[in-house]
This record gives sequence, structure tokens and C-alpha cells, in this order.
Amino acid sequence: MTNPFRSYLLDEAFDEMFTRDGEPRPHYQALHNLLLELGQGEIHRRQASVEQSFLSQGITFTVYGHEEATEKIFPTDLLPRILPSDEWARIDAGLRQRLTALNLFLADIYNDGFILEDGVVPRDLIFGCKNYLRAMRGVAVPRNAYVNVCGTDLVRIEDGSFAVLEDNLRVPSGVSYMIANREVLKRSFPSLFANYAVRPIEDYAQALLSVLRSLSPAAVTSPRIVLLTPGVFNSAYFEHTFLARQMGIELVEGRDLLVHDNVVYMRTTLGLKRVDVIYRRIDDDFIDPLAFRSDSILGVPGLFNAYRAGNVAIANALGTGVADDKAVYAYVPRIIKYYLDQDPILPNIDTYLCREEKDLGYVLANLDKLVVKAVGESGGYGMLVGPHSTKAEQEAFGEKVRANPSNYIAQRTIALSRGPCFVDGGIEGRHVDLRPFILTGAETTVVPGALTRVALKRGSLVVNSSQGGGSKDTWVLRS
Amino acid sequence: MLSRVADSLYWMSRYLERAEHLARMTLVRLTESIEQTPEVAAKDWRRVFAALYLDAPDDARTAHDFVQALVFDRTNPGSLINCVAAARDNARQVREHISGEMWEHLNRQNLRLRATKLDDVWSGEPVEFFVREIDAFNLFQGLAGATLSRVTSWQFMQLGCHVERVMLLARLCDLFMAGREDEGPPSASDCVSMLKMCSAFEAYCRVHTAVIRPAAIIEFLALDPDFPHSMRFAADQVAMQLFNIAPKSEEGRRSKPERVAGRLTAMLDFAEPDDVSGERLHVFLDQVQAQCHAVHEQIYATYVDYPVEAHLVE
Repeated sequence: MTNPFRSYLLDEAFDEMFTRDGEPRPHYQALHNLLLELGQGEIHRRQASVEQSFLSQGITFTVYGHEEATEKIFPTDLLPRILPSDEWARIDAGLRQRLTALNLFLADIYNDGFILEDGVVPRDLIFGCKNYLRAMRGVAVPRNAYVNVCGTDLVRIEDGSFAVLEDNLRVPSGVSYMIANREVLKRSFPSLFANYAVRPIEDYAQALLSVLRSLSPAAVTSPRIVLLTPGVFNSAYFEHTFLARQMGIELVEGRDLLVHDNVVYMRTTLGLKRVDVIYRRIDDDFIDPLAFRSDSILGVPGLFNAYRAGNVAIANALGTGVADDKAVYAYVPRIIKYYLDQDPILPNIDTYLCREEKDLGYVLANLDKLVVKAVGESGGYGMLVGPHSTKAEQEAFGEKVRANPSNYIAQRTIALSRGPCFVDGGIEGRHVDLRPFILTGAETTVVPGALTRVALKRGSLVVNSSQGGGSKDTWVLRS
Repeated sequence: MLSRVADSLYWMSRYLERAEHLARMTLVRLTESIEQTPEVAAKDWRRVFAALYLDAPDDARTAHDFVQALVFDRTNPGSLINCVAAARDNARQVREHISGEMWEHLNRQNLRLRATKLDDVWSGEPVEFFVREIDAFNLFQGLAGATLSRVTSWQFMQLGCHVERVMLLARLCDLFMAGREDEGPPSASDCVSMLKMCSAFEAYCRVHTAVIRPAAIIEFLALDPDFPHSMRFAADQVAMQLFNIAPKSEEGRRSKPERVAGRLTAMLDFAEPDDVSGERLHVFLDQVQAQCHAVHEQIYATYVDYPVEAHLVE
């Protein structure tokens, strides 16, 4: 039997499974033994059976540009990522702290604006941000919980500690894969669970439902809750159906809803039914063609007015995107300090704001070492990866930064940690990140699990599913 | 239930009924064409297309050509693989209303059909392929029966299936028995193949023995109250589901769709043998199809695409 670890490479990046001298870390020992015992052929067989099961269940995301295969499975790696309880305790506390501060921040900037008054966050940064929604000023948000569902992206850096890469405060996705991955692992490696005290995550749907329930307008005793999806062509449609089914709520599209006299109704076979809470998976811009983008056919005309009138709750609240803006990100440690008078438990990645003179000078002098990002863009657009760019590219990009400094931020390049993955018939290390999910309504819940995203291409740091990324189950151990 | 969801369930079922009917007709035709001259076979193939409201390609000559167009042609919206894909797309939009078993089964069938090439079917045993697909359609119905609660979603699925069935049966009988001015009366083998296309041969024999009498066959397929692939049985199902779906009013008055469906069931329940013979058969079958259209439109006007003003008081 061939050793599946024969081509496993260790270098300066932190490895989740092995210490620097190639010994498995204590919490990976049992998995390591099992893999040696099973051998490559058996692991391969189980991996193939997982892929088949995803395909026939239709656990897929949509890829555009192909004539036929528009639905692809989201690649799942069989080997779990394991987080010991002490590490998780820190992550849990850090996420609670961060989200508490960000919710206070949103309530503040859409109402009194104390933090702007005190000059902690520059006024023009907020009011100039394209995700700042002027229409939200003074709108009452149930329980002042603006962000009800949050998916924060964490990375483990070279020294083994976790840092926040990005806050996803608008319509974060991926939670269905977290749950599906767990289902798969229970089927593929039932015996392994006997060696680990893994914290369960199945109650995510109930937790989300009770958050949504807690947002319902006061007068309603048994609220009607719906999940608003852009429809079957959205890449996360599987997740929308999955969550609606798990929560037992209606999955609606914009065309199923209508607003009359500032009240939202859905169109059913037995007439119109009033809707009280909307878990929306549509971006702000598209949610109401009367209030925002008039060319949107996904939204519901008049929805924003019904919302402002307090007749319907929407989760997440509108306008949360301003708080996950790439430039605002740099201020989050100061935001935490301002509202909670605490130091951040989970640090940011050091970020240079080109809008600040001394940072700009440093960035321009070090374009070959830094990752420079345009604040308004996402998905890898408008970005310069210094170490992988040519002198000419750096000069051209430097010009753009000089022309509009406040549109750019820069970060040092980080070596994401690596975890063992089953690829090309053997086990190799691949870069991973971590997306835990946090729910806030009447109270805050950090789900004891996460989506670990994997860059399946050797050496790649890109974990996005559209660019060759996959995912794996994440085990948080009981103390 | 959301109107859009009801609509998708209804169409999922219609597409599946159509696909199953198509597969059964093709299977029967394929077996029979073996012993026919190419000219007769081509004429009979064209009749199958017409019975499915489809146009056969002008240049089709052989069974291979016809099966390609009927089953595998991606450009023909009515082909078997496109019907199954349409059913599956509808199912995908209402996954939370059907069971996981149903969804996975249909999704797998669709994936399998998409990956199948006619030449692979042809080089093996083509009959085997159709038997397997028909089994798959029946299995879907079995899964639905075993895993779905008899609530609104079930009712709209049954509605779609049976509206489609009445129409397809009426059309089939019309083309095989009535609309054959220039061809003379149907032959015994035409009659047998028609029965088989409705999976009715054995059921017919049990009632009438194997004596093939066109008048008895048409009576059986149109008016039999107990056989699931008769127009009357299917129309009764339509009426029953519409009764189940309708909100119960205190005045005890029937809903609009029920009233329209009632005309269809009355036509079939109270038909005289004369109504389904000779000259009058074609007119009768035409009316059945027209009534099906009327029922369909009323379902839409009442449950799917109604004006908002009609329902503002809750």
C-alpha cells in the first residue's frame, strides 16, 4: 500500500496538520492514523462516492458561459479541518466582539453619527462610500441588529494565529455547504467521529429561524417569514432552497411578492397573504426598483417604503455594505475601541490606507511587495498583487493610485495556512481560509463550525469557487 | 401555497406525463415498425408525432431518424429529453415542496438522458432503453405516492398529470380512430398498438377479451370509469383535485374551475355510445380537448395569474 503522504510538502506557511518537523499535531493524530490505515485506493473510492452523491442531490452552483454544464458541483474535500477548543474559544469571542461593534457602528452612522463627529472615522469615507445608503438614515431597525447573518473570512497567518481578512455583512453565503459537508463526512468516515468530540452544527436552521422570528414587527404574534431569492439562475440557489426547506418557510421570488398600502403580501393559490419578515438573499441595489435600481426585475416595487413604515422586517438590514467596505475595514480596530473600549481579539491584516499621506508614500515605494486593492471592487478585480507583477504593471497601477488615492488600500502579502487535501490520488497541503457564521437577533450565536474554503490548485491562494476553489468540513472540538 | 410554486408543480407533472406517454408510444412503434415496409412505417411514425402535437422532420425516413427527432433532438422542445429537462427545471424551482427522493430520482434521470447518445441505444437493445425510461417515470410516481403528503402540492401535481393525460388520450384516439378520412377504418394492428400506447391492452382484454372491436376500444379509452388511462377516469381526477384545492365557501357553491371541469366530466360520464362512434367521434374528441384547454385557463385565472384586487381582503 502506498503512503498517501509521500508528496506532502512543508515550508514557511503554517500547516494545519503537521508541525514544522513533520509530526502530526495532537488533534490531527487520529485522522493521520486512519488515513495511513485506509491507504490511497480506499480514500479515492470514498471521494468518488461523495462527488456522485453531490451531483445526484443537485448540490451545485451555476457557472455561466457554458452551453451545457451550467451546474457544477462545488468540490468537496473529504479530509476534515480540525480546530481545538481553545483556538475556537478565541475565535468565538473575537467574532462576537467584532460583530457587536459593527452593529453599533451601523446604528450610529445611520442615526446620530457620533463616531464621525468625534473624528474616529472620517466623514467623507462613509458618506462617499457607494454602499452607504442615504435612504436608511433614521430608519428604525428591529433591535438595532443591522447584521443578522454574518460570514467573516478569517485566515491563519505564518505564526499560527488567526486574523480577519474580510467581513461579509451583506448577503453572505456558504452555510449550506458547511452543513452538506458535515453530512457527507458522517457518511464517509463514521468511525472517525468516535475519536473526536465534534460539536454539532445541524441546528443552524433553527437558530436562524429564531433570529428571524425575533425581528418580526411587534404586533404580530405568529409572523409569516419568507426567504427572498433572486431565483433559480442565482449561483447560490441551492443554498436558498436548502435553508427554506430546513426552516420550513416559503421560498419566494420578487414576482411572488407585492406591496399594497405599505404592506407586503405574497401571491398564493388561496389569495394574498401578509408577509412579516423577509430573509433576503438579494443585494440592496436590486431589492426595490422604485427606491433603488429601476432596472431591477428581481425586487419588489414599494418594498422599501413598507420597510421604512415598519410593516415588514428585512434581514440583513439594508445599507450594511458600508461596514464591510475595504477602506472601512482598516478602521474596525478603532471602531471596536470606540464603542466597546476593548482591544480587538482577532486582529486585522495590516492595512495601508492610500488616503492617508504617510501610508500612500509607503505603498508607492513598496508596490512590488504589497497587494493593492481598489475599495469599490470585489472578486479580485482592480487589484495588484505586487510579488506576481511586472515593473510596468506596478508603474501603471501606481499612476492610478496617485490619481485617486482614497480609492485604494494595500496589505502585505500573506501566506495562508495549509491543510491536508486529497488531490490527484495523494494527500497534499493546500491553502485554506475559514468562514464562520454569526447570527444576531435577540442574542448573538456563533455557530461552532465553519466553511473551510480550499484553493485546490497547487500553490494557489484563491479559494473562490468560481476560480478552482473547493471546501471541506470543519470540526470544532469540545473542550 | 405560492401561485408560482403551484404553477411549477403543475407543469412538472404535465411534462412528465407527456414524456412518459411519448416514451410508451415510441416503444410500441419501434417494436411494430420492425415488421412493416418502410413506407407504412414512416406513415405510422408521422402519426405518432401528430398525436403528440409535434411536427416530424421532412427528411426523416428510417426509425433511427424518427427516434432521434422524437427522443434526442435538443432543438425540438417537445422531445423526450427536453420534456424531462423541463420537468426537472420546474422541480428544481420547487425542491422544498417535493421530497428529496423525488428530486434526486428525477435529477438522476435527467443527467442520464443528457449523457445518452442515440447511437449507443441503437447499437444495443433499443427496446431495453425505453423499458428502463418508462420504469423510471413510474418509479417517480411511486416515490411521489409514497413520500408526499396529500396537501396542495400533491393536488396540483395530480391536476397537471391528469389534464395532460385527458388531452393526450383524446388526441391519440382522434388520430388513430377518427381523423383517417383517406385511410379507411383502423386495422386490427392499429387498434392493438393504440391500446398498448395507452398501456391499456391487458386492461381492455380483461373486460372485452382479446376480440378487437374498434367501437369497444374507443368506449373503453374514452368512457371507462375504472381504468387510469381512460379519459373519463383522468377527467374525474381533475375534477376531484379541483374540489380539493378550492377554498370551501359557505354558500356551498362550486368554484369556477370546478364548474368548468364539471362540464368535461359530464361529457364523459353521460356520453351515449353514439357520441363516440362514426362521424360524431371526431367532434366529440375535439370538444374534450377544447374543454381541457378551458380547464387549464380557468386554473390559471383562479390560482396563478389572478388580479390583485380580487384578493385584497384577507
